[in-house]
Amino acid sequence: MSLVTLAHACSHLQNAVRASLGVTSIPATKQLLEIALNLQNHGFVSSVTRGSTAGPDEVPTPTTQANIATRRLWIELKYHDNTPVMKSLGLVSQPKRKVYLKAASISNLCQGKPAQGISPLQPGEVMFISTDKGIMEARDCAKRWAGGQALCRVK
Amino acid sequence: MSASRPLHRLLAHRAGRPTSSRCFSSTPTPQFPRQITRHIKPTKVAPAEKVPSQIKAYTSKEYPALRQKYTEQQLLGLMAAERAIDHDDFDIRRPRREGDPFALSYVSDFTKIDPVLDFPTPERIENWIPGMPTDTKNVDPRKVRNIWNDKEKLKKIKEDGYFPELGQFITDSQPEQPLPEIQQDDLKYKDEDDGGEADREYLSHLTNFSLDTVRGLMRQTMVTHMVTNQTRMGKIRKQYVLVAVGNGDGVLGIGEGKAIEFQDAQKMALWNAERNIVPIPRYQKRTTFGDIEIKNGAVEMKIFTRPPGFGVRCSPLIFDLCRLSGIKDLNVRVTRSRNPMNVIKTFCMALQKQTLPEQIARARGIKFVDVRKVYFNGQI
Repeated sequence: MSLVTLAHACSHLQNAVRASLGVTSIPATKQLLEIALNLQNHGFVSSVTRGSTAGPDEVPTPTTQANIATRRLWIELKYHDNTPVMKSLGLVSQPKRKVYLKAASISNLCQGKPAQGISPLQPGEVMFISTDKGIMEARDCAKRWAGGQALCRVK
Repeated sequence: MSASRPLHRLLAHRAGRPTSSRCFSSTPTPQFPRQITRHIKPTKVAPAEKVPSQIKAYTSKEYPALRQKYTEQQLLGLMAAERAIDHDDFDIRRPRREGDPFALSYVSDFTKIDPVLDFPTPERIENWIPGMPTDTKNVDPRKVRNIWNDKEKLKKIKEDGYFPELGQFITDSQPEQPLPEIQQDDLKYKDEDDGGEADREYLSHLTNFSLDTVRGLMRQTMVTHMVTNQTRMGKIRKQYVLVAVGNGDGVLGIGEGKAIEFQDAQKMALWNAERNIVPIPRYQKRTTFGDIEIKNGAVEMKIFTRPPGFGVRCSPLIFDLCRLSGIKDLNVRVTRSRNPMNVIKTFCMALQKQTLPEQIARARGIKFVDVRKVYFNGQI
């Protein structure tokens, strides 16, 4: 679980929406795929497609030792009323300072209260948390009473 | 009723209280209904019958006992009072029925028509004399009771033009003639000084806000200072005024004015502020939708939404803006430049650029629900 890759991906997506790009790609890792799918579920991006540096796959291509260096995740960005739907992405845990949240803390954050030195979630903001059940949104964590490492927050 | 209400709550609500008479209405039954005190059922009053009076006259044995207590004169007075009281009326007295919503607040005998108080009878209408005095304030009704049946008396009143019982003359009953009016609208006299109502109507037209909103605008002069323009002729000094207006219920506007005279600048600023009024979105009509961070020039500001009852905790200028726009719970921190003029402008910008939950939901294509509203059935 590299926070550095995640940080780069967050910055890249933020830059892409600021440049009003239609599609962009991020490295194809398991963590980023999970986060990208979560973003799609929450309506921040329209689609997530596997692909290579050349572009999204026309036919499904398995990732192998041979092509792994060129694999990318292609993400279609979303805009509404001439403004990007996903405005900002940022890390919560940083490589030098990781943040592990308890279930109670996550619940507090979702209720608009600060917890463990983290500012509360705003309306329309989501936070992804890496738990033993996979990467989940903070509200899902609160519902299942699961804690974990806070990865990034998206607005 | 929302489908999002949990079943157990739904059932608890219904089971706890009997169905109200309003069950056909779409209005939700109130969660905390008003306690209704049940009125005592009106007791059936038996029709008034002639019963022998319970009050008996004094016997000859009772007089000596009375004489011991009262003097002769007092006794005479007592006896006279006894005789004066009509026993028939006295015996049929009943307490007022309780719980009768249509009961009159006074006692009246409806079997008789009062010539002064009641509506006219057919005879009265027939014999009506135009210009009859209507002022019967100090008149004994007994004196005029049968006037309408007494044709000779009426004839005499008509001839004399004087009503002896009322002590008043019959007035000339010519109907009032309306004054001739100017028919053309543009020739009619108009009062120009209407307290600025014409301006308000124009403003309402310009801003698309209702006339009531424009009428209810409060104003506050926020910033005043001198500004100077250096020309080759010398310095030109002017007065700068920034005025904020708001109706205290979600409408805010700011405007600037610059003039040589302070009054002119203020007038200009006020007009600009009224021109610039905008609706301010407020969560539950009291605070902002989420926290806002804004940077405008050198002014940086953090605006925090707060729970009910928190109050407005911020600098005085922003407090005034909150008062004008009707924000009740807020916390604002101005972190960099605190230039009053720019702080005001930045705060107004921040309030306007809030993203509403509906906008977010539409942009992301997801359903957004205020859980508080759903849980409390839209009552909070």
